[in-house]
Amino acid sequence: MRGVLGGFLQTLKSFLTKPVTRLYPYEKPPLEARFMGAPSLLWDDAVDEVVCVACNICARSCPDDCITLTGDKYTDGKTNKKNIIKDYFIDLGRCSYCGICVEVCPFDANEMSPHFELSTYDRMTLVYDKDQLIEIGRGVTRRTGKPEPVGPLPGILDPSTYR
Amino acid sequence: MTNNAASELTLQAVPSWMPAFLVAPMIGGLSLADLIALVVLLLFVLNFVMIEIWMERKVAGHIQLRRGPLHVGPHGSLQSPADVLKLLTKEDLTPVAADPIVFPMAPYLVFVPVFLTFLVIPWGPLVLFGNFVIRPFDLGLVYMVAIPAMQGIGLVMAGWSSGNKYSLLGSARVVAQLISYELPMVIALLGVAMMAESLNLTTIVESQMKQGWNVFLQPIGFLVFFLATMSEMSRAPFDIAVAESEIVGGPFVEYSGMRWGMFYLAEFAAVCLNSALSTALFLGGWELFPGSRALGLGWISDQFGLLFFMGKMIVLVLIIQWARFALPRLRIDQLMDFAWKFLLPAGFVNFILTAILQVFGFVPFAIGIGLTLAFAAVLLATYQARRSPSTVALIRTAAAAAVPTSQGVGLPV
Amino acid sequence: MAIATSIDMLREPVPSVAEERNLETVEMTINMGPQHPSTHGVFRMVLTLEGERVKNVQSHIGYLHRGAEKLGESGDLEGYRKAMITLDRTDYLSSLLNEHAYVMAVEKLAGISVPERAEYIRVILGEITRINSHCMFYGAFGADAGATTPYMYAFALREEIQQLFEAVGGARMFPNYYRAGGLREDVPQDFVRRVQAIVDRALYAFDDFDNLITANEIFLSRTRGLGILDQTRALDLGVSGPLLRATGLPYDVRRSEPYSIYDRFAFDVPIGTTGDCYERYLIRLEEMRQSIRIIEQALKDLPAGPTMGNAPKALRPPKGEAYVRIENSRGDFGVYLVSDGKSSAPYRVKYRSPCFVNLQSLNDMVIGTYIADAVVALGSIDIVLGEVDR
Ligand code: SF4
Ligand code: SF4
Repeated sequence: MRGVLGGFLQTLKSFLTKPVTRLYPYEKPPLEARFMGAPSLLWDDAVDEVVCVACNICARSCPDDCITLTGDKYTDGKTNKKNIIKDYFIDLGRCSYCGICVEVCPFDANEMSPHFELSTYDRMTLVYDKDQLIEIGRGVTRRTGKPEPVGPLPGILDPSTYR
Repeated sequence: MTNNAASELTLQAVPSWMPAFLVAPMIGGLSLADLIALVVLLLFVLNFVMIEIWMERKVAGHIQLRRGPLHVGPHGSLQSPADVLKLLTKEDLTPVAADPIVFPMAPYLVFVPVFLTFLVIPWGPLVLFGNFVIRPFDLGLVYMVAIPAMQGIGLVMAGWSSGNKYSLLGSARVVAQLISYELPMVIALLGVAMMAESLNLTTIVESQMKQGWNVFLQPIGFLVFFLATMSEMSRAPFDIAVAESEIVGGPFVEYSGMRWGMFYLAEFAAVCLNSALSTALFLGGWELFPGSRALGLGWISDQFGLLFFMGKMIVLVLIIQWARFALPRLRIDQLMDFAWKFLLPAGFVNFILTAILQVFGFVPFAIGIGLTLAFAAVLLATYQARRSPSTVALIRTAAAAAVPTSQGVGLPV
Repeated sequence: MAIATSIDMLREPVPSVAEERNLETVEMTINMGPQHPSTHGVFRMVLTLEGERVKNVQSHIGYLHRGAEKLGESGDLEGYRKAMITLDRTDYLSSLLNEHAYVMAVEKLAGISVPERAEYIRVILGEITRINSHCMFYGAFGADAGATTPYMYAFALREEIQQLFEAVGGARMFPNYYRAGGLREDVPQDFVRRVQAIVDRALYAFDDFDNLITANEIFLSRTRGLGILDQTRALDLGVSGPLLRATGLPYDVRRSEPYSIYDRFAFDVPIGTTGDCYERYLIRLEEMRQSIRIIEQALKDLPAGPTMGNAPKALRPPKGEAYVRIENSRGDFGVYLVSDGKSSAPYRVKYRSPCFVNLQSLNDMVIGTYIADAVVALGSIDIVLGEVDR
């Protein structure tokens, strides 16, 4: 009897506490600074072109083989690159968001963007091309390896909301 | 109260709250007033079920640290109508292995008995309308036991005709459960009938206003009745017939669309029905609080009784819903044990105690209650003494004392 | 002694109606899974039933086979990192614990040392992962026993733990955060504060877990005395983890073969007495509390310093092999790596997954019980199909 009553009391208690639900599509979750969404290509604003030099290291390191890229000879002369990418595809339907491609890139040319809302009706639309990858990488700065500033605790971690 | 009328199933053809000009024209044995009453009742049941489903989802949500339905209407209150619309537009699948005649018939056989039982419920009076009860049968108590029992047939038909082994298991469980719990329920009702000296539900409510509510006079009876009805309608923790984690929905596995909706409707209508019956039989029906008549406050109940009836009913519904989210499910053998080894003897104890009260008066009744309590205490003490010490404590002490196993004891890799 | 005889008569098994009237009965076979709410993923049991009783059970696995070991052996660049991606996804509930085993194996193979701070952080995150995984067990076990609320309680706590993983490693389920020689990067600066917040919150949550079902009579009657596995049989089957400890053997790799820095912490190894489902449940709840103890000690001693050791940028370990075992949340998890000394990917990867071995005990537990018990017994093994099928 005691245990059954305990169950009733406990459920009453939780009935009276505040729900922990976050209303996702209306209320975006607090993304952490290190959050790894879709990988993106970074844009070099100084010379107004992509940083990537088409060295293919990321494609070879990707555990899911989801990066495909082709390079072109670089002739603009704004930087001392030898090559620049012509095409760069990532199949985000296969990507496991592991961040290895970012880690291995020797030129800091890519970063995991906070872009994660990928629901779609057609999985072919998940194959992002160069422009889309640059688009989701806009405003993203290369962070991997550098510590981020201390922020406040996200609300959900505050124990007072639970008690 | 043995007059001639009660010995046969008399139909009081005149609902007291209908104006006379509606009662006069008869269409095939039913007056216009009857038809209107039925339509009103059906609308009430359907609407109440929707509110109840919304309530349950809200209760579940908040118990589980969620919020429940939120988006359709204010606080999600229009979620149930939206769900009904969705169910209505959904494709009605009949599996190839299903019986083409029995399979579509079963949902109606489950819902209709529940709905029919609502006819005898004395909802209570409301100003200007008079007393709401559609058919105050003199054999109301017998009727309310007999008719819902037909539900079992519908569920067996559903389970058997689906051509699915899970539904078959589920329907076998339904039969076992219904038969076992019918008995304690009826035994508990004997006490009620004895106190009121009548089988008419309205009379039972009125007698409670004079003698005191049955829940205080026969608490054991109330408990037995409440638990037995909870099991009859397959509500957690007695929901072995539908048990999603074992037989994934029992008899309903193969149903979809509005046919499935009918089962759902029947389940929630049954919750409403049984709460209403418990209210009428044990909680003093439409009386505001016990003994209000003696204090001269009887007129409040006489004017607004319907509201109090509904209030009590909703509280019971909430308790039933609460139990669903507070407790794990019983196993089938434990369920049977509970019916035969606990509820049935308890029902008999209640029966005897009530008989003592009725025949010998209050003092022997109080002595009887005392003896019962003493006996229960002895039983509990024996049980406690025979129980092994708490495993939680054992594990804690063992954990502290455990010597780490030496390197030698490895496991075969 | 007429009464005694009649009581004895009562105890004799009553012949069923079918037996009495010589009716012909058939056994029923039901196919539980791979799509069934209580088979913890895509496990399939074929139950042979006699009424409600289970006469025989046949397990079918392999629906989630993804060739994690073989995939770990592929790749021309960064092969040692790639293997960890697939390993994370085998036992998706104890990903960081398994990562720990894997990086330890690589470190052993390549002779890399790990800085103190990285070891402490690995222990802290590993124990949090254990709590995370046991939470899942709590929820699923409650659901198997027919209670719906435990799941939500467990997920309220898991949500916060995963938020921490996101802050630390960038992903909620598969942080891919450990590297041979240390960690991918140092933890965020408010790490200690956040872990402390989780510890505080978790202790509250455990009390709630207990209040909700631990002492509940229905739950007790459902789980006590069910699925008993005695110690000899458990050892014969090679069962490990909470299943083995419930039989009374205090075997915990963290204790019996301390790896990493586990020998520095004081914690108890909870053991049971009978080895039934209820004790497995209790042991897991107690282990969560012990994990909190370890976390608190580790937080107190957490040193400053680098989190990456002397690992070479391109890993190419010398020819050889390494086997490392750890205690993950389900039992004795082992990683076996072979290097051919030439390539940058392991020549052979083999995981010893505790779930796969523990699952063998299912027949011992289930035969002769009811259908409802089969579900509870399966829940008490706490399998993760990703790890069983790999
Ligand atoms: S995140 Fe991982 S899986 Fe995705 S593209 Fe980069 S390396 Fe490949
Ligand atoms: S993203 Fe980096 S690694 Fe990949 S091709 Fe460009 S420069 Fe090379």
